[in-house]
Amino acid sequence: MTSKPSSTSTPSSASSGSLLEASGITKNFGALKVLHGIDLAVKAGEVLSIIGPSGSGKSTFIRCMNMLERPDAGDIIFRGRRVGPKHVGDAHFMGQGELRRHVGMVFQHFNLFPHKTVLENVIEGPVVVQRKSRAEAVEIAMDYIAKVGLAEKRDAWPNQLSGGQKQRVAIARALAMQPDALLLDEVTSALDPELVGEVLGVVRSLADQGMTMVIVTHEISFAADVSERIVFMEAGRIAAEGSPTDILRSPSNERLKAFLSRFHA
Amino acid sequence: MYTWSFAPILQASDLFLLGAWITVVYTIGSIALGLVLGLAVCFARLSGNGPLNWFAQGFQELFRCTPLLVQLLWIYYALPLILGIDIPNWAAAMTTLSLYAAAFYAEVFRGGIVSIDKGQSEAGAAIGMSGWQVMRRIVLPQAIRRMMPAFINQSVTQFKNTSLVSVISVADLTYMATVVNGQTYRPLEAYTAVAILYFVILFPITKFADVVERRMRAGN
Ligand SMILES: Nc1ncnc2c1ncn2[C@@H]1O[C@H](COP(=O)(O)OP(=O)(O)OP(=O)(O)O)[C@@H](O)[C@H]1O
Ligand SMILES: [Mg+2]
Repeated sequence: MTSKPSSTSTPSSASSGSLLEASGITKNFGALKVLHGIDLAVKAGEVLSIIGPSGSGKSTFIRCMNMLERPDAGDIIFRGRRVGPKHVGDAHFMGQGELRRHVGMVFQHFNLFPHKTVLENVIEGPVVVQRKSRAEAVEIAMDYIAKVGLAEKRDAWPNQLSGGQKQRVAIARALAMQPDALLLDEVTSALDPELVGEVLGVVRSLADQGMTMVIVTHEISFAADVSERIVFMEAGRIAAEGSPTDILRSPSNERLKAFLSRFHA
Repeated sequence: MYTWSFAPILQASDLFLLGAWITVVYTIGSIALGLVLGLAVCFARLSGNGPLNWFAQGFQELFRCTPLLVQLLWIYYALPLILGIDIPNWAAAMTTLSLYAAAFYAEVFRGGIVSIDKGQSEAGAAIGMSGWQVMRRIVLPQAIRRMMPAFINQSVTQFKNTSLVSVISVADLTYMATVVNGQTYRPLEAYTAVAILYFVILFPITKFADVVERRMRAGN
């Protein structure tokens, strides 16, 4: 296992051995209260899916996990280190840049860099952020580009790719940073139905290889299939949480039942 | 019937060439200074720093909402009274043109930068890039492409605007036309020659701007 023992600074809510943890995350957009104190800990190697109705705060929450959204209260804790303003020499804290080097993200709308080729998109992080040599970065990048099945597209421009191909490049771009965990926010929602499968296939193979992932998705059966744990969010709170069987076969929560019934229609 | 006679004008061609040269110098000089200052104003607007943003915006509105001719006259005739020092006409001309260019360029730059989808900077941030790395490697390269046509158009306008410096006796192309007219009493030929010179210089540039714009559309 890669996870180190947590340091003494971990708050009381920490379950020991968690890789990435959210503690009491609260977020408002002006007067709109979107998240009401969310606690969630992800263990190394775990695949966790977040489901829930539109507007329940899933995206806001997963974006808080790598600080793309700054929580109003609460902490993000990575390997026992609290993410926040860095105090020089204080090993209990980590900057948001460092967090993002360890926790990758894949977006609904791919967000590939349109002025860079497939290969350039994927080596950008290793070269610019990790300061690897170009040769080393290309070697790593080509490895992941091949893994997502796009080796022959290495010199293509993003606008020459299908949606599914773009999303696979975006996954390769995140993987090239060799992150400890990956956050995926509805990575198939912008795809034509016939292209969903190829992207889910890549995510599934990452799960098989033991990648730690937090997956926000509307693909309920995929979530059930690939995750160890499913979290149901409702109006900015975690309303239910459990194994796929607990959540899908015997939902205890009325709202969850109502939510799931829409998928069986 | 008026008989055209360009012979006296051709005899003064060295004056026209000198004037054209002065016009080019003021154009390039004020574009270069306007670029640097415009970038600074643009980043001040985007900085999220209240007073800085407020100051930059005030500067822009001042120079965008008053005529360039009035700015020129004010800086040449009025500012020296406040400062208690003489401002030579070339300095007043270059300063005014540069400030004016900066106010408009800043808006061109800002428009280009904010037009880039927020997902682009988020994707950069998500792989751990710093704010400056995101700006330099992700946002600016795309924004520059997008703002190119507006930038060239603004620069063409800037070239034409330099003609106003003739009112404070800077010996540019327009000023030379007046000089030649005074010597030859041939206003029709003198001012026609000057118009042709402006046109000959600017027409290829506007055509170039069209090509850039078409290529940019094709690229996106
Ligand atoms: N930047 C923002 N500014 C203001 N309100 C926002 C912002 N981002 C999200 N919201 C609001 O916060 C609430 C939660 O949004 P969020 O995107 O997190 O929901 P979601 O669960 O991801 O929904 P979906 O399933 O539709 O993606 C919504 O009411 C949304 O309108
Ligand atoms: Mg969402």
